[in-house]
Amino acid sequence: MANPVTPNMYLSSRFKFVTGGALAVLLIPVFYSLWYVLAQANNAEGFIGNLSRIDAPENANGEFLESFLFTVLLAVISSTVALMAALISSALLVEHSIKNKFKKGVDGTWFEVLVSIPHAVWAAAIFLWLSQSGVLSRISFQLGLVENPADFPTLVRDNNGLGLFIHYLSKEYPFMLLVLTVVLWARYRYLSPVAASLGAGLIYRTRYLAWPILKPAALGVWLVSFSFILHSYEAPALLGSVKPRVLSVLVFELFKDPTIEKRATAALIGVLLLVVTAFASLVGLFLIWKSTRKVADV
Amino acid sequence: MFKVDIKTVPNLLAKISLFATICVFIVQSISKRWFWPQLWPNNFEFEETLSNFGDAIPLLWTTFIVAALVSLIGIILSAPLAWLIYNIGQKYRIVLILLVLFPALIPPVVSGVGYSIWFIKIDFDGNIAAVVAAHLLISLPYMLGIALSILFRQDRELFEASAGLGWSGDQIFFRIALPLMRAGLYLAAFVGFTISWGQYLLTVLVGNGQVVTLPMVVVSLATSADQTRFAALVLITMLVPALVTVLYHKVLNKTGEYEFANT
Repeated sequence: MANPVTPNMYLSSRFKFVTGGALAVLLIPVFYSLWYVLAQANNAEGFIGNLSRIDAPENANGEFLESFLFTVLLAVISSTVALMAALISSALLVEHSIKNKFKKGVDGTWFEVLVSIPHAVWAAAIFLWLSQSGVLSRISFQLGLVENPADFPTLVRDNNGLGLFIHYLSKEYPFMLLVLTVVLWARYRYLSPVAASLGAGLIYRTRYLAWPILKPAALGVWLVSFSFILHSYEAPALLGSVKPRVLSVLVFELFKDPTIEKRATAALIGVLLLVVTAFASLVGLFLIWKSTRKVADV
Repeated sequence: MFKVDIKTVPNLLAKISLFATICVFIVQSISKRWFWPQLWPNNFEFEETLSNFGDAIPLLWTTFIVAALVSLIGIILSAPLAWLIYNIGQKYRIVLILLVLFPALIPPVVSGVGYSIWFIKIDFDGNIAAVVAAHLLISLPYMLGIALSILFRQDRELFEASAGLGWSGDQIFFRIALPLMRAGLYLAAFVGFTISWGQYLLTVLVGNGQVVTLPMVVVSLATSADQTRFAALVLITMLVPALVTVLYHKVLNKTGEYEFANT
């Protein structure tokens, strides 16, 4: 017999109208932004013309390609290293909580505090520690390692993006760790003691038990972190170098320019950022869906 | 002998990095002319520090009001939106989810410029309401994601049984779904607050210089000579979300909904 209760019957017309209306009103500025950026990118010489001359002196002036590669590489490396560290740490913390029979699971309060600190503030903290006149430089002087600030290695506003890498690593790692420990704790705490009693060692449990549980979440947090770094503005504005500039900083500078060519270039780079994020999200969501199905099949 | 368990090293590192950073900022906020290579400032200036903290109160208030409003409006919107997505037909569900998540895909530097021009067009720019709206658009996808994740974990039979007893859809939402989503909504409120609290670029673009929040001043002072004032503002900007985190845990503990965080 067919189920007499259909999902739609929980939604009254008034509920659908009010909620849908609120969503529509909220999305007006979003779609206007999208339209605006597409229209701007189509300005001057049109999409194709602008794209082919994106690095011309009157447009991005040779900065685009270098900035694009720098930003994508920074996002990939920072997210991947943070994920590796978070995966190892989450396994250690969950094993520790299981061993000590913690009822509430892993205590993530300190990591939550770290996540809650705004990026601009954390970037300022990184600057305070790592700049050539910062705390580490002063400690190095006291230890006799450097004689003046210039002797201390350039760790912030450097061309290699080391300061930015340290910033993203220290901010994305706690975020990833929080998500991964929650996911691992939910299932691993029941399965691990059973596997251990059947003779599975720590490495075997991690490889065949923890990793399949963590894989979809790991892909998800990597994706969130990658997209975030790709879009991030505050940290590169404080810790980034002048050349190559992170794409968001370049876009903002170009948007502020009064010439139509530069604004069109800014909008075009914005569209490219959106396309890269959307593509990465689609690939990531497909991989998550695939690995979730594999876990469900097991 | 002092022994460190390797399994607790991540926690230890988090505590050390946090406390060391706060301590350095505290010292800097009360120091006067702390030049390189001094490890410890020679002069301290408490009067200036107090005045710096006093000057920060209007900024703190504006930032708090914006973040609190984003958090409140966010949960008011995300709960019914989650219920709508949960109950709507399969083919519309994915469209709605994509629509709501879409603002998170747009880089803030692009959406900020777009929102700013839209708000100027409708004569709504440069006020707290515009900044709240812009922050809400970037926070809502995350808040809704949390509300949805907790709703999809619920047993649908509970709602079916209530419908079978003659309850209307609205009654089921307000009396059953909403209480079941409560722990998720606390988390969503916390996430919304922290996202809004740290916003810099959207506030700059949409606020048009009329709405000034703590992160804006922190960024502008980062490279200035007034490092004492900078450190005082950084401390405030850092400590409020930390206190909100502690408060969030207290609320979860008090309501006995801690289990949510671990399931």
